Amino acid sequence: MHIPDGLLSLPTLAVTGAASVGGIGTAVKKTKEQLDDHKIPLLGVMGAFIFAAQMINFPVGMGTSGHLIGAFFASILLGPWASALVLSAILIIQSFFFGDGGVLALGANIFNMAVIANFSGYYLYQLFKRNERGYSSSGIVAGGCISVVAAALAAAVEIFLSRRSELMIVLPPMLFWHIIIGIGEGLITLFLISYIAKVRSDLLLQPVVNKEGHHGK
Amino acid sequence: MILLRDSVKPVDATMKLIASLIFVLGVILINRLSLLFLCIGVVLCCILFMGLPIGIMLRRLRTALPFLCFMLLIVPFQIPGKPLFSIHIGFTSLIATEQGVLFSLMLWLKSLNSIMILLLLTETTPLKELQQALYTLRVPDLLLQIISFTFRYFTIIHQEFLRIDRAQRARGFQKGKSLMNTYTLKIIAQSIGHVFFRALDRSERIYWSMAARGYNRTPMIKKTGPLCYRDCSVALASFCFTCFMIWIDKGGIL
Repeated sequence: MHIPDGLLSLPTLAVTGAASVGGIGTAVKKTKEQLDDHKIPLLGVMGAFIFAAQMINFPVGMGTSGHLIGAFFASILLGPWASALVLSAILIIQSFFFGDGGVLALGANIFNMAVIANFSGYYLYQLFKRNERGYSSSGIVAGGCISVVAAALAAAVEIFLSRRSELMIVLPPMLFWHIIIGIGEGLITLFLISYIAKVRSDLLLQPVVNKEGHHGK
Repeated sequence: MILLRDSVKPVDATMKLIASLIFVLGVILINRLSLLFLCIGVVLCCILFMGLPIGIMLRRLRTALPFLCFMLLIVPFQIPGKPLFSIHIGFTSLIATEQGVLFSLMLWLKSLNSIMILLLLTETTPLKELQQALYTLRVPDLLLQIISFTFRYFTIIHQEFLRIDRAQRARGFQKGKSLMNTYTLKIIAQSIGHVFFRALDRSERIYWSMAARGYNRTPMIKKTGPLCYRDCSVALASFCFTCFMIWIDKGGIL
């Protein structure tokens, strides 16, 4: 889903870039308000963790395998603002050091994955969630799925707006595959969260981003 | 060789970053195959001039290449235009178009160009200088700190993953064949979850040990000296070259 350099037109790059800059700016402000100073390394750990988790492959069937994307997982545990920063950091590293996604397309990639995927999944999940302590299984699968599909949809629309292809050609296969990928993402996240809930359920309250004294507000 | 490399290295990282960004911008604006090949040639020359071993570049390109090649195969079928050939799969047939093939080749070259110039940049610039460059370009301090912590912790967490993987294999764990195998899913998710807890605890410990050694979150940015003409000339050269390329591309000479 990482958009490479050269695919999007200049106006699309400019618009998505501006949106991402605004998004990151707000996220930095919100996170600084909520986050204790000594929790910042923890965001880095989360970034490194998602990076490493992406290397673990789950068997999907027919010889293929998939991996966790992590936007939704991060947003459940960190809250949407801090997770937007963590994901942006990951995307920047991927594009600079691994050639995964273009450097000028970073704006678009951050917009798709750190903003759209992150927030759509998070807020859908909030609709399903009933109480502070528990988690909702169907909500996690739906949220994981939506986060992936929404990002793919945004990418398809950006490609269309750049007049590279027609919407009807790009969209159906993109949506089809990403719905499947999204269900996988939702299932993996569900297993992860259920394990975390079993072992350390306090983490589901997003203690990571709450300042001391705001615990379980 | 080493002498040559050292003569280029001290160029200010901000200027190098700006030069690379201008170059990439130029590359995505160019629409002629011959010019794109020329740009790849220029990047290769830069790599040789900097004295980077080609092996390192190839090794680092390896992560990006599969995706690029996949794109080269997919895109021809997604652009409407004059049909070139078609492939029948089951009851549907995919039609590759002339425009599609041309566009995918161009996209491939553009992406390769941008990836190569970035690899060149990151290979010749220490991480710390690159961070300073990004800071100069107004990337928020908090984001840069997250990036540097991500880098620091990645190896540690990766080692934890490998450790658990080894432990599982030693106990005879085998991955199931498909996503339907919930036992496999559960085990893998549990191991990821376990690493997550370890990472959490470890990050706290690391933070306190860093704090004990004087880390207090002040930005690591030191004032860089005044830019000399050589620093600016890198960005300027890139700018001139890019303008020249775009000029030719728009039919300036012909």
